[in-house]
Amino acid sequence: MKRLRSIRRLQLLTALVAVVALAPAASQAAEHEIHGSNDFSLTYNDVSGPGAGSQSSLTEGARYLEILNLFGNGRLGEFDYNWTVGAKSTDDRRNDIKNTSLTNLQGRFTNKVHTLTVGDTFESFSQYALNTAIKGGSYKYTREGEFGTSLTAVSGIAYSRWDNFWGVDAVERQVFGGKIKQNLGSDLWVGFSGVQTTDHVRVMGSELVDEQTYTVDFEYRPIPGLTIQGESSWADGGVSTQDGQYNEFNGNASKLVAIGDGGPSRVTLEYERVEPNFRTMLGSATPDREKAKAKWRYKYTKNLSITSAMLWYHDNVDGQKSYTTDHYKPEIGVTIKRPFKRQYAVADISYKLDRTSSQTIDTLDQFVNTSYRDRFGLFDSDTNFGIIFYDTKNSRRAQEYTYNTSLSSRHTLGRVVLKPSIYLGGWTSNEELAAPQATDQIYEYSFGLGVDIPTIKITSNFKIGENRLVKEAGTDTTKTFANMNIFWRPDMLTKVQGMLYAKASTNDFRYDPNAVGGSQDFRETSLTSGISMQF
Amino acid sequence: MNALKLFTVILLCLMLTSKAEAKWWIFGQANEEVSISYLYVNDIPYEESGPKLTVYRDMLAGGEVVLRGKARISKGKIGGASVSLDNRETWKEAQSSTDGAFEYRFRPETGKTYVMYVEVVDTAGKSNDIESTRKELTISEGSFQNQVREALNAMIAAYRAEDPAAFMRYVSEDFAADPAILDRAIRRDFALFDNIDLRYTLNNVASGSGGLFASISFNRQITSSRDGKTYRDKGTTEFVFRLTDQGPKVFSMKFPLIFGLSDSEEIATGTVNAISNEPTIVISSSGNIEIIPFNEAVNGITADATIESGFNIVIASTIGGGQFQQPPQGFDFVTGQVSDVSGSVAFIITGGDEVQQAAYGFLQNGASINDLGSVSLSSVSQAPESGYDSNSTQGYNFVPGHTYAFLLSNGKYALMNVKSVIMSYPPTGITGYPTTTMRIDYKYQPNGSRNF
Repeated sequence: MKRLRSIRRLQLLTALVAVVALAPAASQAAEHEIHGSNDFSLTYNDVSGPGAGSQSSLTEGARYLEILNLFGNGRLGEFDYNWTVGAKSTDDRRNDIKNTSLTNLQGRFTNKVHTLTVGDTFESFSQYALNTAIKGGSYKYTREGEFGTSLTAVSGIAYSRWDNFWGVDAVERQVFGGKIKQNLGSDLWVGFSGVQTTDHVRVMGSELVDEQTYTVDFEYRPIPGLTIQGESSWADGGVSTQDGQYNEFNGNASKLVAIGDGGPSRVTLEYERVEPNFRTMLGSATPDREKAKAKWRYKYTKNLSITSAMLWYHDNVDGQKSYTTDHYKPEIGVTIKRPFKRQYAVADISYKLDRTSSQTIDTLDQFVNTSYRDRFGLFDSDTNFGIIFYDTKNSRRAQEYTYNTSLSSRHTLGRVVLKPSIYLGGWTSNEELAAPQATDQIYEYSFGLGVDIPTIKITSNFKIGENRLVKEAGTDTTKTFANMNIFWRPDMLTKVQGMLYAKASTNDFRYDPNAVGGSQDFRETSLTSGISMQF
Repeated sequence: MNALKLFTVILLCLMLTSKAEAKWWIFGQANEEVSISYLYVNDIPYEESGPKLTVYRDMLAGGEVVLRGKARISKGKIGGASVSLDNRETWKEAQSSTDGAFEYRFRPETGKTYVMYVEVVDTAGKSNDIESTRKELTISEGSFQNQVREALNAMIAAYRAEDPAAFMRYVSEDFAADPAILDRAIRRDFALFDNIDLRYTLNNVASGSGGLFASISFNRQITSSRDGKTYRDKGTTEFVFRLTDQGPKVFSMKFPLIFGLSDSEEIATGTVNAISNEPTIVISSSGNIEIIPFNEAVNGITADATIESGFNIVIASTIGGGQFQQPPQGFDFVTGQVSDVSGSVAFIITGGDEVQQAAYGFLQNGASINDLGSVSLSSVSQAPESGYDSNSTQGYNFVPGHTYAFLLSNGKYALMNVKSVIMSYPPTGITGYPTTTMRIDYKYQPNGSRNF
């Protein structure tokens, strides 16, 4: 098995190396452009306190992070080409499990009829069949026109990172696929695609899947402003589990969408049905769901727009369960610009309902949100207020209130621009059916100050504040925080759009009462300095 | 299927009325004599991309912007199509065909903003509503990696600030699992989490016909508002973004999620090809935060999606004179039904123990039982592996407040909490027999695991 895996990897890597080897030749072409970006930063983290080891997500000590990306494009004979290559390097295991890794490698050649992509390849056949990037290649033939055709073929391995080829093990998911898309007049196209995925090499006891997916999709524009899209996908395959079992599966997923767009309105109608046994390795789907949705966005006047929607979905599509759970999620939202004839004011109000019902559960949750943004003299304000009512029959009745407001301002003092701000926020939760009835609260307050000096291209911001979680029963938590960011674009780095930056932050966590067995209090401090460039 | 029928009827109505002059969904726009059916800028739908569109230099195939469209007229023939890139100061002719399709290509300068208009005229000289085709097209110097990074940074900032409206601005209207489901889930996240801290680095970014693909390594720290504890984890996850005028917007997310954990099974439309079995933060069905190995978390999603449960279910049997008045009732965890059919239930109750105020009964059909004592149903996240008693001839007391684990004959596990037991007798002077009524809550795990 390992030998086969090595051969497959070798074949793919050989193809990629060949492309990389072509890059210098391409760079000799008459029309060639190369540019890139680089970001290097050094971070020092200090974590202290009894809870430091188990609580903080920072790695102690000095760590670095380097990110490099290079891009090129140009013309070689009749073909346009572009390529990209990127890498990152870090010694912080919480940033990445590898010290140095390749993040991008892609080459593309096209003469508008024939297009060849090698390396990172992201051809989307349809949502259900193929909607992820692979490491491999694709070829696309395009004949444009009223009855034009496009043919696409892809092959590769669906790894999530390049390191999976060398040293970071993951299931080797081989992919082959093709799609033909045919225009039937200028208002309608139809596509047919097939994708084969075959898993090799079991990693961490994972399942291995062997699957074929066949899909038909289309788009039709019968009149101006109306688009009808649809796709239907059939999956057929088997799953091999670690204990030697092999279970076959097959299922269908279908979707139909109508979009009416014109003037002040946009209406969307959507229906989707995904069978419980529909399984897609490279697409996107939630199995065992039948869904219907309608959404209407209407711009009533220049300053008033209304959005309303209704979503319904349920499981037990094939009646395979003993009961069905239905979900209803209607919502309506109104946005008013310039209310009360105030030039900078914007008000939003929305009501959302979330109902779940089955023979065993019955919930009705309601979400009400209001927000108001305005300018009062020197101050910009942004205020939000939200209420959530939770009601689960015989089990839970609770309310949550969220409220926050921020005030910010801007003042110019000579060459310096000052941008002070304050934030006050809170959250209150009341569980009525808890015994005894429980009310928990969160308070957060902070003060910020932005300091910009445009003449020497410095921007900065500072923030200090506290967040307190106060529980009626349980552990209270207090976090005191301060952070600072400074960005400087010195003239000497103008040609490379360079920027130097420094960031510092400190968080102090305190728990009351502390856990049985000792205090969990900790403090984390992080200092970062770096340089970024684009050229 | 009713929903499908309704949808089909609505769709048919839309299509049939397409020949009519008045069309409610476009509010009179179709009455124009010259109109544009569709427009695409580099395969991005014109109307979906809003009044401003940013195209990234690295994503221009051959370094060109390609505008494709189709015009439609009510009478006569198409005379031609032209495009202005400088706010209608000059016009350039597009390649057009007799059916109204047209195309215009140009090689843009990076960093420049083009104010674009499209005009289509018929042979009588009438033109479309030119003003409605206005679009500011900016060619960004930034790389698509930077655009993905900026979108993720903005989403994380909104998530940390617990601002659902700001967060949803970065979610595509076509979000695979549905934007409304994600919206509700992040609101529940915000109720469960405090002091959210998220950092990430990009592992892989790819651009193509599907938009942008990003694989990231993340590092997360949160405080639970339920128990006040701080939790941390790290892992790898993937996103697919679609391009719009406001930059990339999320189209799909895979498990492990960094957003919308409260409803993982509905929101994650796939699972990453994992590289390690790192502990991952998950939200249990009861809303508690747990950190469990990745493989178990993946199974947990399946478990959460399929665990069946029921509350306040009444089982009652009447016995007297040594005989049942009706067949004794029991419970079938597989169907979730109270039944008096002896071939399906896991146990039956045959009477009560007045001293303990408990119901009394027997196991059936190869089921075995484990009394977990006086614990709540929600506190049991895993059924025991051993300690089950399978003696069907021995009677058992079902004590109020106790939770029982069952290993059923089909190899699946179930939990049952006895909420109350009531012994009722016929009124004095009336002939009859006592009835034992047991009220239960239960959970049944059909996937064969012991996870609840």
